[in-house]
Amino acid sequence: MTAISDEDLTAYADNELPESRHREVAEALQHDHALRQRYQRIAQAGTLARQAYAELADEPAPAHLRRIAETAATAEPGTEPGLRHAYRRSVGARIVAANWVRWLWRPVPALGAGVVAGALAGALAVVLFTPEDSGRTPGLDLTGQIPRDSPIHEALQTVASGEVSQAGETRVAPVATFRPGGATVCREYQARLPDREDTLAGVACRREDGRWSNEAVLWLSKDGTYRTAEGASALRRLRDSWRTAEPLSPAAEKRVLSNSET
Amino acid sequence: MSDVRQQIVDLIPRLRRFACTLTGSRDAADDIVQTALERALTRLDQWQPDTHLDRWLMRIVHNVWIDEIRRNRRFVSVPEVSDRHLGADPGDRLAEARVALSQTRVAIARLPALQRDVLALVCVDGRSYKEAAEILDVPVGTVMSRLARARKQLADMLESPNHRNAGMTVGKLR
Repeated sequence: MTAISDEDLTAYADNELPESRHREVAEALQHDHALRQRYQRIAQAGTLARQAYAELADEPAPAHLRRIAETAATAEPGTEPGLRHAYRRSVGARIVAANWVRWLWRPVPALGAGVVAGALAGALAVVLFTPEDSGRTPGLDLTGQIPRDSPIHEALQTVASGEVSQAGETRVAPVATFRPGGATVCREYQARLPDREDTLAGVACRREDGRWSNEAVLWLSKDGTYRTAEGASALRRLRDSWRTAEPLSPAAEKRVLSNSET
Repeated sequence: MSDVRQQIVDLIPRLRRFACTLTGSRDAADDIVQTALERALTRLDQWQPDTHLDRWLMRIVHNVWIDEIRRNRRFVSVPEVSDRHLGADPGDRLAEARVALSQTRVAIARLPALQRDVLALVCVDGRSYKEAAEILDVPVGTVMSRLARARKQLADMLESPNHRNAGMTVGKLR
């Protein structure tokens, strides 16, 4: 048997030795008084360390730290920056496309989501869209093409990022416009639909026939639960492929949108 | 409130204890936890939901602490020994035990930083070597050797009369 080191005794005290070595040390401790003393010092130092700070774990979290965990986000509490602001900030940070699987995404305040429960309600809330949700929203196929007569189509065609368009009870807010590759034009948007608590967030790309097709959609909810579905990996792929795409400037966006009157 | 936020709130006491073991000071610990929470929330996208939130947060606390040491700002190893731990009646066994514990805190705070963090994780927080290695981003063997040195040194300090006096002095100063 090799000599028993302080490391052996430490790992023995923490029950971290491989079984055979553990047995050897246990055996030696029975017969070797000096070794036992060495062991007791090492074990006792660990026990004292644990006791020295034991009571701290029972202390409730101080209010100011709780508050940070509960509310800290990318936005300032109590303010409603409005869409222009939100848009500029997103563009400035180049995070719009990269934001797809950030759980910090929050509904655009001007859409009226989450405002009742406070400006930060929903800050952390992302509900990934699952196909079964599709049936619950009549008149809107969320998984694919956006119908031409849909308010979302209308908004994607004409409304500048940062503006809100309203048609009946549906409010649509384009957030940013991208050209992720070649000529394809894609837009990130958020929408409030009738009879839905949650805010719909989506990325749609314009196809050659002039119709918009959702690449990815998810629900931003107020209660903060989110379900991961197959959608998650699709969103991640989307984000990765767009990592380098920057939102178009308002002027460039305007040119792209005016070309779309097909 | 979201599940993740609730989990983070629930972990705060444990993060504070970790930070307190590292800094030896409650105030410094709260500052570190505050910075760590803010950092964690802005980087929540970097946390993989199928991994351990507690380890990820402890790692951030540890990183904030290391940053703090590098900036050499404050309280790197000035321990806190509050009066209520010293006890009023010197003959009281409980008071004696408390003195022993406050001396232990002083001694822990005097350990080299790279021994203190393994001690904080394994002995105080009850982590396995593997978990501690993951949080600190070092090999398991490194955890073991640092921990052995930390314990040896802690035992030496607690047995030395010089240390005992030093601990009491610090206690009276604060």
